[in-house]
Amino acid sequence: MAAKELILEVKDFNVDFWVEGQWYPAAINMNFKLAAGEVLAIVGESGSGKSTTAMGLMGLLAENANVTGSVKVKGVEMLHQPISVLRKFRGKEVAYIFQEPMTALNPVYTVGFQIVEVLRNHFDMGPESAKERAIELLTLVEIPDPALSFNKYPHQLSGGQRQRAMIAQSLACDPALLIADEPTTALDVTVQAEILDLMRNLKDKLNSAVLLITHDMGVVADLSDRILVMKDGLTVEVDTAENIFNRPKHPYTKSLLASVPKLGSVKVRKLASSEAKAQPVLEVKDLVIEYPKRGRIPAFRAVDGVSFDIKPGEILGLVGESGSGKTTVGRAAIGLLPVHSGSIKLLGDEIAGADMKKLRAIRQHTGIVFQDPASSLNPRLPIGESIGEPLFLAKLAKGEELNRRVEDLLDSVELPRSYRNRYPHELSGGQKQRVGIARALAMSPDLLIADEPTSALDVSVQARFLDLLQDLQDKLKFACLFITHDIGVVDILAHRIAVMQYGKLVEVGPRDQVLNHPTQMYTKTLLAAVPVPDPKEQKKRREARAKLLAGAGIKTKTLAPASEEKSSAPAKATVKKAAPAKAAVKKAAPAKKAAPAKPKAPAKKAAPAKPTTKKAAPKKK
Amino acid sequence: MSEVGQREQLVTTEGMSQGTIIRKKFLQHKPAVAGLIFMIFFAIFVYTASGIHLGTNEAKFTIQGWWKYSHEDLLPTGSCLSGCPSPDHPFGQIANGRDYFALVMRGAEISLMVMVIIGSLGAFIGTVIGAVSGFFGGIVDAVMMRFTDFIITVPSILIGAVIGYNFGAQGVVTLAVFLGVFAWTGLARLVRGEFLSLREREFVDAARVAGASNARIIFKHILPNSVGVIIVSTTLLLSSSILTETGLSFLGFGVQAPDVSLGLLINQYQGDFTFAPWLFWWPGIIIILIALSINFVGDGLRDAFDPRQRKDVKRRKKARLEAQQSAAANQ
Repeated sequence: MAAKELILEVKDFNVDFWVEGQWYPAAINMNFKLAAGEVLAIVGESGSGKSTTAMGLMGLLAENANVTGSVKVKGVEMLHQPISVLRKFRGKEVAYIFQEPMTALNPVYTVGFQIVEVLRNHFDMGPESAKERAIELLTLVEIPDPALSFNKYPHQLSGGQRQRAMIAQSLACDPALLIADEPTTALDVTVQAEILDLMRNLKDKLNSAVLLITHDMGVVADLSDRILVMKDGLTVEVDTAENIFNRPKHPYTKSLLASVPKLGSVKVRKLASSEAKAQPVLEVKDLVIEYPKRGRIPAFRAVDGVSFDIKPGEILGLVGESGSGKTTVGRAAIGLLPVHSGSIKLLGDEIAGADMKKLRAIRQHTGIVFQDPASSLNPRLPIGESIGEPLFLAKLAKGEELNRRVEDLLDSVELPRSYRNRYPHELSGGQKQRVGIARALAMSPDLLIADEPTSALDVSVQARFLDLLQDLQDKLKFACLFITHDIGVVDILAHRIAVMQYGKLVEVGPRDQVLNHPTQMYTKTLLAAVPVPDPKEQKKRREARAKLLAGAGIKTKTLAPASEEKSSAPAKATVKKAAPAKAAVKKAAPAKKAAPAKPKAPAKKAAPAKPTTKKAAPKKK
Repeated sequence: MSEVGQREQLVTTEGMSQGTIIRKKFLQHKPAVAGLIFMIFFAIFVYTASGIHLGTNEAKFTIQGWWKYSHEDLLPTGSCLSGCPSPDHPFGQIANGRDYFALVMRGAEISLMVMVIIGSLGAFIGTVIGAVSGFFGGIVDAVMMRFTDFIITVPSILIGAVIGYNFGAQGVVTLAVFLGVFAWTGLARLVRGEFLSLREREFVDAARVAGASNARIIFKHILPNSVGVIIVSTTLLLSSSILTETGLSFLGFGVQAPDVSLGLLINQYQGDFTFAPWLFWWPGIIIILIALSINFVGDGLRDAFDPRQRKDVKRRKKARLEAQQSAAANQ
């Protein structure tokens, strides 16, 4: 360790923000060192100052920030240096990988151009040789067909590929220090596992120091050598990864680790036998949903022949990667999307094809919690009014009575009553999501649809939120369709689990069966890709995953385009290999095959244009 | 914080609706309230000063104001040759002896009326067309926006001239109404854009699930979110309506002598600026005051609708005090 070159040295590093006539500290007395080839992870919840620290190191903070202390990269002081000095270091010695690859790459330039730009900024290089080097870099990050990808625009790449391009760009000048700010947060688990593999390989190959910023303990366990835990701008604990995970000293570290959902750590939740036999609350049969054709973009079949049911008091976890159609199923179940064919029955009432009046009646038995708490509450409506709206519109309560019901609902989600006059932006993410639940439960629904309610929350907030949801479910006994990409969450809550891929249901079964003895290859790869917050265990899982993929005749490389792009020929090949049973079914039903097979290939090209296809949906009504 | 939260939890808080909160916040916005009060008093002052003159020459309905001269009276000029202000004529006189105060009051009356009519008509039609078009999209949107495009392609000064030529004799109210009917296009475009993006937000779905009708979603959920755009462009519309009216009057299609408007007064007497500057200054200052107070009221409305603008001085002071106390306690 001592022999390695010291890359980054941070001493007495402080960041304060000047807000409304007051200094607010964002990072306090940070001290750390980072050697070549080493990975230091900064872990903390949102608002703990981890990103601020990373930005502050290279002077990228807004003007109202005051940075003090000392930051040395390869022995050269970085703080309070003229911009000309910093520019020599930025990109060349220190490179950033940002969280959201779509916004970090400029959408009007090709990926290749953006890499060439970095190269030619820092080196005396001709356009030809820069292009060569760029393609070399794209090869290094394992982008399929690098020469072709060089001329692609960011929107033509999938999320994982974009993140790879972003990494290629940041590696352009062989940086000594790589700062990765939540590099995998926006990605699916399987893609995340690949990006983590890639980063591990690159780090070894290039011998860079990596400063990893993340809130995901699983990612930390996978990659880091040392860990720095931050809370409210203070360094809580710094130690080796092994010590932090096995012998955490500080109570905060312990609580942080405890709130990470672990696979298989919770007892099986059983339904009362009377409930298991009862008439299902939600019955979905052969559901097909298509986003209609728009101009030259053909119709896209988002959900294809899905059938399942939910019994009273049961929680069904619907798992799948982004683009698998799980959210579409949830929205259709509450009548927000038109059904192409098949049926959805809520308490025996058909939702497919129901008119507005009937839908309104049916919706009184359902509630929905949306994914993004920031967008699902009307920013101009005080939350008390948001919560009371379903009651008010159903003419169930008015005036004083409505007032009381709103207060009861706030109590039940453990929010102070005085919050009722607040606007959504005055609440934290977890609190907003509680408001979302309160609103969904206002009508005491028989079915609650929870569409990734925790994906925007910190782990500790998520843990509290899941506790609350579980308590409420125990008390009120509503059935619940819980949609998520996080298998750990499903593990805590669900009685049964359904797995979706490319609009089809891959596997449905009781929780234990699906998690411990999955029968389908896709479920296995999905489970294997989930990082576990324990370095040793994670190493084992990593190897097991590689074996699993190898055993299935898929190399990591070929899987990459498969799971990311979901469109090209190899994708289909792997699906078939992964699920021979399903392929057989496909062959057995030749009548139906022709129709869904055709729109498939172009439809997936439309995947990046998702928001626009989404737009088309409400129009139809 | 959590302790405070728990303490508060026991106390029942009176629920406030969106409307109540907005009214409260607007009343806390001092410049806006000042602007509103000024507008009200100024309008009363102006209308009572010159009285009310409605209708055309044949069927005239008139209520005399408290000012001793009418804007039509031809009076003997005073001692001052250039008609400078005197106790009898506080704003001075113009060359043919008319009292300038009466003229300015009459001009302000006309200008205010034109502004209010064009502004409210334009804002209303624009908001409704934009909202409907953006919310429903599809064929409704296509038809309405092509219609909007058609209106935009016709120059407004031409429309004004045709209207002024045909209906100018029926008084300035008719003219203002017609101008208002054509003034909504820009606003409709902006509101439509806002609605297009807002209707994709999840809170719209949430409202729909809660059982809200389309009308409720449009007016209760989306419209308050696009109020910023509406107010900004309405303020611009109000000031531009003064200009439109002035332009038309200058061309001889708008307000016609012996009637006056503020724009017309400025236009007529800017040449006299060197020797009788008050002829320019009085109407100028009044236009500036009107525009300013409209802007203040608009600002206040926008802030009142915007939940992020907490002009809650008491609360901020309290927070600062608490922070100071805790800092002192830590030391």
